[in-house]
Amino acid sequence: MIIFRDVSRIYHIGDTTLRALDHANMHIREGEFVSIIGPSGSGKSTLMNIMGCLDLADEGEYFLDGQEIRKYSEDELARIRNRKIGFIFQNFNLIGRMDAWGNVELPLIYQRVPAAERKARVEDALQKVGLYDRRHHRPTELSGGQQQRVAIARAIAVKPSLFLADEPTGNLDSRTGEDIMKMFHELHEAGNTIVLITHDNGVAAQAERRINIRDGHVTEADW
Amino acid sequence: MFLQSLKMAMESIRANKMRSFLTMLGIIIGVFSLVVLVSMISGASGSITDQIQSIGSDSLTISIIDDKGEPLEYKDLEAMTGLDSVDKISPYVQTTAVIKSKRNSSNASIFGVNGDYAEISEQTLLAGRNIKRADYENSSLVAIVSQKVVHDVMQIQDADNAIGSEIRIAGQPFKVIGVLMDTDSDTSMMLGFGSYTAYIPYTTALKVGRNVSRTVTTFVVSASEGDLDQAEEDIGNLLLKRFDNDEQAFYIMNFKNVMSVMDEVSGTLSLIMGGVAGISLLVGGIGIMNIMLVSVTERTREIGIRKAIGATRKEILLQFLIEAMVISLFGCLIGIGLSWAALVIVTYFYKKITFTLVPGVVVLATVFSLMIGLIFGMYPANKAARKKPIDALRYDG
Repeated sequence: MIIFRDVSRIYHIGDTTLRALDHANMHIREGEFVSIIGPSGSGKSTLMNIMGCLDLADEGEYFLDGQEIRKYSEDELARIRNRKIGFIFQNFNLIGRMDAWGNVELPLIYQRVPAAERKARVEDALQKVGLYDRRHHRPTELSGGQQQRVAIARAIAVKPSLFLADEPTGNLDSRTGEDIMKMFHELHEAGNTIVLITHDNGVAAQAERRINIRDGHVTEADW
Repeated sequence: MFLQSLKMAMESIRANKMRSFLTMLGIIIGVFSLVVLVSMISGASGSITDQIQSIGSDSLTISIIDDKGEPLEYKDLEAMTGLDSVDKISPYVQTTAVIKSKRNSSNASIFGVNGDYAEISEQTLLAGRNIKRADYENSSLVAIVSQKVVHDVMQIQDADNAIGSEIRIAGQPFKVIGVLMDTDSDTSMMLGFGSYTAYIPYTTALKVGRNVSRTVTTFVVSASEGDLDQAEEDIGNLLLKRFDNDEQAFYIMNFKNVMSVMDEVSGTLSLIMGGVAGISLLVGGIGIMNIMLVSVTERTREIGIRKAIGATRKEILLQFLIEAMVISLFGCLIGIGLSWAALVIVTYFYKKITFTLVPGVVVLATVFSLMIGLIFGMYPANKAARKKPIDALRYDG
């Protein structure tokens, strides 16, 4: 499902070379709920960018859903993200001008899903996160937890191969955070693959399996 | 995708109403000045053309400048009617004199013509009759006067009642035989029609007038079947032969030429004004580019989000490009609407000329606005499309 084989990402800053990701190896099976934990600066973000097809590895191979993510063009990567990845970000990353419905609908528009089907899928996703009643609210009119639920609905609507969450509870109070985590458990029980990137042990512990990352090394991949 | 981009563009324009309006303002003013200026020039020149037509655009006026000691006489004019291209011909002399009735008096323009003149210059009689050949041959003291003379000098309300009355022109008693319909236009005022005027037989004018040349120095001609150019050529040849091939000896004024010159002048004027207005449209376009660039920077995060969830470069490009074009087109439509209103208002207060939107310039303004939206939207849109999703997502705006 997700395979990292000796994946490295190298940054050149002036004369120094920084291996943000250093020969990372990893295997995540379909339907797994995995947390990737590491302190800030450990290479978490780099890992997530590569896994989310937002960035490309300099060395090594990355397979997503059996497909190798190679030196694709920016637009090809956009298509892959569009169909296979459901992002959930720490700061929600909703578009402020659009209401909840519009935000959830957006990836489906880029997928060119026909209007009728789009409507059904958006409605279904919003109902799953319990925000159908607030579908015409804009992000600023919603609480942080609600905004994150809209973001989750946006991921659900895509029916992605991978839910990729980056510190999804980082900006929420612990109570709301728990609600969001509950939602991830539900998604997992429904058979979805979830990768949750965090620096919070408590959050990481809720996953089936933990992968540690430190200084660009994936150190504990117990599989 | 196009429809979706249009929807997104509308959303973003609605989200920033004030800014969008201010951005449009440049285009609005540009389109407004373009459409109004060109429409007004066209309306004014159309009105002048109408006026020229109303005072007889189907006639030639020939003036003899140097008769080489062999002045034209009336029989020479009659001979000219022998030309195939010439229909009617009338000598023409103008002088000023006092018209006097028992009630009032006024300075007036007196024209000496023959019975054909009314037809050549397409005059319409309100009452009475034209000058007849007998009037001409007998130098009768008869006059066709303008309505203004009837109203102000004779102080008679109904034109019919003026017929048969006596007036004095340059001290001589004249019988009013006809009343002319006033052509109420600026040009005819300028040329002396519609004011205090009287038409009398040419021969009478020679007798009565003080500063009137004994010979024919000016005459007007109407052409057979409206072929004015042929008549101009034929008369020109005839006069050339008579005046030793001296082209300076006479001058033929063809209203058709006057009108074509008018058209040319108004065309050039439209072009210049349109060009100036076009420049203001261009400035409006730069305004759009400016705001779009700000907008792209401001919305860096939005662009990042869109790209992260799957927007391609082309889709981002299209979104911002359409936004620029919609702003431009909206501005254009508002500008056209304002132009229409302005023309209606001007027409309402300045009743003499009817100003209407010139369809050509409306189309031109629309196409030009769209082009400006496209050209000046391209750079910001491209800048948006080229943003890297990771960088854009990380941006704190």
